[in-house]
Amino acid sequence: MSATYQPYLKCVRSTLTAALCLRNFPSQVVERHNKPEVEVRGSKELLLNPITIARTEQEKCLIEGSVNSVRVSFAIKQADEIERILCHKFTRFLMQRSDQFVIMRRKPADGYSISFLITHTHLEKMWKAKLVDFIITFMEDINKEISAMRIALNARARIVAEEFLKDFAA
Amino acid sequence: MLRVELHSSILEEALGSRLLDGKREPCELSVSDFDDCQFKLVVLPQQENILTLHVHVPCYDLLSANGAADVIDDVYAGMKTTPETGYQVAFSVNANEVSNPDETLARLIHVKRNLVGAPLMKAFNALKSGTAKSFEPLEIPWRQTESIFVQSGPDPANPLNYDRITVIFSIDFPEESDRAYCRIFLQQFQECQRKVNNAPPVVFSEHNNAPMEIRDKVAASSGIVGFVSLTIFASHVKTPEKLAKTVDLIVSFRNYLHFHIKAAKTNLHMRMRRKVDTWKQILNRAIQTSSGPKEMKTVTGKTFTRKT
Amino acid sequence: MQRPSVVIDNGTGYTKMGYAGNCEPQYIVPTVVATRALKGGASTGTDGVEDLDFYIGNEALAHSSSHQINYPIRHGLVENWNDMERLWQRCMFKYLRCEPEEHYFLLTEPPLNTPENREATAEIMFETFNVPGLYIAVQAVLALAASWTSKSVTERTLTGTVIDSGDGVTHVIPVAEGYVIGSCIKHIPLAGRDITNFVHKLLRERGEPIPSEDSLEVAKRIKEMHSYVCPDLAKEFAKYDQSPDKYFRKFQGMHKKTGAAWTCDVGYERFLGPEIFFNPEIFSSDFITPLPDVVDEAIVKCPIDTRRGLYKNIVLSGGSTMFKDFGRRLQRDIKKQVDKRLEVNIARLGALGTASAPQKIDVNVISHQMQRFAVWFGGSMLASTGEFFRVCHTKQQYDEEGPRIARHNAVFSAQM
Repeated sequence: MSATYQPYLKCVRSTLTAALCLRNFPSQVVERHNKPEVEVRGSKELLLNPITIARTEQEKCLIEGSVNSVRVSFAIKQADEIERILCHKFTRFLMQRSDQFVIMRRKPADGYSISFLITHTHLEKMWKAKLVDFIITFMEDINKEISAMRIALNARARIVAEEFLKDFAA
Repeated sequence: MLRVELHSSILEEALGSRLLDGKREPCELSVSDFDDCQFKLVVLPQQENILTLHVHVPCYDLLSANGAADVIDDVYAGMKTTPETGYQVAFSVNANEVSNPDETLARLIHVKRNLVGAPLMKAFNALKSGTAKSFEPLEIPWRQTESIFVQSGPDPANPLNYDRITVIFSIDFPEESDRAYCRIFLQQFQECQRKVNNAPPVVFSEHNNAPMEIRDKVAASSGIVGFVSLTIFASHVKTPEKLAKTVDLIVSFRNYLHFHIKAAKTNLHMRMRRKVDTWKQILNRAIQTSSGPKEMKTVTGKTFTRKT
Repeated sequence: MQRPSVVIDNGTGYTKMGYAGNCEPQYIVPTVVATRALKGGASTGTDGVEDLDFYIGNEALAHSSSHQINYPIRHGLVENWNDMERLWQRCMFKYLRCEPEEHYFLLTEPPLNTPENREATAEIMFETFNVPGLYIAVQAVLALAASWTSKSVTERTLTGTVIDSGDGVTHVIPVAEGYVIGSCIKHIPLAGRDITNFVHKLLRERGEPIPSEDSLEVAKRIKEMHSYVCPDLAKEFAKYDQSPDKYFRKFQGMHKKTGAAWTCDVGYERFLGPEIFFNPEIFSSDFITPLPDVVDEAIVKCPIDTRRGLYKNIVLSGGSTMFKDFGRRLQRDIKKQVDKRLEVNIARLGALGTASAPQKIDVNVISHQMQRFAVWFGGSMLASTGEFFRVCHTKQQYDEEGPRIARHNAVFSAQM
């Protein structure tokens, strides 16, 4: 892990902890509705300024806050074609199972790889610190996993090729 | 399972039970094989000893003009009959009169390998006998977007000495991720060849950079994955066993690659599932467990609360 | 030349697979995957090809000493998707030898499968294998379609009651116009394995000279070769006692190790085995409702406008419905119950002074040639029609919409 990665994660962590300050806020428009304001974008005064934390051009994090919900989106580093495909496949696989991860969105925000939506109900049921922990671990892991997959794929291809070519010599 | 077999075990079983174990039962069995081959085994009632195998292989006419016809006359001597419509060639044997059932079985189940391998066989035999120079370059448009090119080539140091046969596959996969994985695999074939003693030189080139030998034959922007060329020297076909093995390997090359691309995808899926499980655990740790009396369940599904 | 579709029926016990258009599946293998037990902690990040070191089906059982045997399907539902994906991989590349990109696939699911499972299936089929088209059919509906081959079927309907009895469990599944009536499905915890055990017990109690290590296997063979369903238990006993030579059979076997030949008598167990469906109390004390009663209960629970159709078309599927005269006995017993109830009703209506008497109810139990692999055969039949290609979910649709397209699979009854 490169030296610039830890500060990036640390920055995301503290911003996220600060942003996760939510309260119950019923809809101002429809009675008895309670919607994440960051998604419906009904009235300006309920939204906070979005913050982008970027490590590089491609690797960044967008935190959009509102009175009762926060949306966190990540762009995952994709150095080349194979990383792009692996990242796409992986995030798709995850989002297909987003009902198992209560805070994961089924679709990422525009221009990002994966998004989470945290509402005040989540915060009522979960420990805030651990929720932030999850998001940070997830970030770290997904990067690691994608590189690991890539290495595994190459290693596998090598074994497969060797196995085939050995037979010519035998 | 690392390797893909050469023959269809469905056929092996259906034919084997009749040729070796004396099963006499009518049947009509259609099966597919890789590379768009199809077989149909017909055993008519009342003539349960007559086994007819109809075979469909792509590019039959081309194969037949380049050695497959000789293979049929030679290996399947006396077995050829008229095929049904849709099939190009058919073989028929009388299970009661087969003198060497094991060998007949082996011949019949390897029909695909024998027909497809015929042009390769011809090329390698020419190489062996030193007449490689007269071997006409051949293109087998094997699939819609893929071909196999077979041609002889000279030693760069001595342009008069035709000492090699180059087999070039143009390889394509329809799906984007398959193509990307395929590229990795093919690059590794090229890499590994250096490490394996006596392996034929393998060169992988991208689709826009076709190998010299066939550059004039392929469209510049075909959009396929790329080309793999395997260069076979006389040392690879020295003995009849080596020759057969080399043909086996080349015939099954694409199936092998295809299988391993799918297997790699399955492996990636397995990794992803494992990761999902670990993340789920981490997330569940964040969920606050309420203190106080918890509702419990018995084995039968009834609920109760423990009061202590 | 058109490439045949591939039909794979993954059951709890056995996987039946083959190319559509054939009359029987090309392979019937146990649904098991034998994987190499991973050494502690090594479960993550294997960079090699260790994951290819696995076997399925009979090969898996043969490698049980070096590998760990897993059953990816339990009670009809897929539990382990890793194993399932690998099982399919082997089916395609080793057994059927098809390029998945070039063949349409028909897979089966049990009644009451979850939509999430269908999504997961579609994800694997389209993402890993890039199949051009996929259809997930309900097993019971395929069993109904398979019964169209029977001579006694005059109209091709997708309404009927399916009795599916395999090795582990027996289901009674009412289907109306291609849709399973989920709330009215009944399960019976008696099936092939229980009959084998019962026959085994009877043989042992009589002290037949069967080598103990193969005794279960012998019981299974005897069940398959000699069993039948009798019309009346008491009379059958009397028949046997009167002329034993006519009814008792001999079973000959060979001792596996010593090679010594032995013979044993096969007697009452010939009809007592399958009798556990009709008089379960002779075998088990937990479950004592006879099969005809269960079928009747299931149909009576269904919506009233479907019941006549359900009685009229009771279809058998699975190996444990293959006993001789099974269908006949079932039909008679159900008929008896239905008629009795009808009479009571007629009497009651008569007492009320209602003029019109209700119509007789037809009860038909359909037996046919393809019963053993009815589900697979039904799939093979449907998958070779043009209609099948129309209802399949295609790769294009999947790429556009994602796995959710597989949640719903259109009912189709092919006109042939």
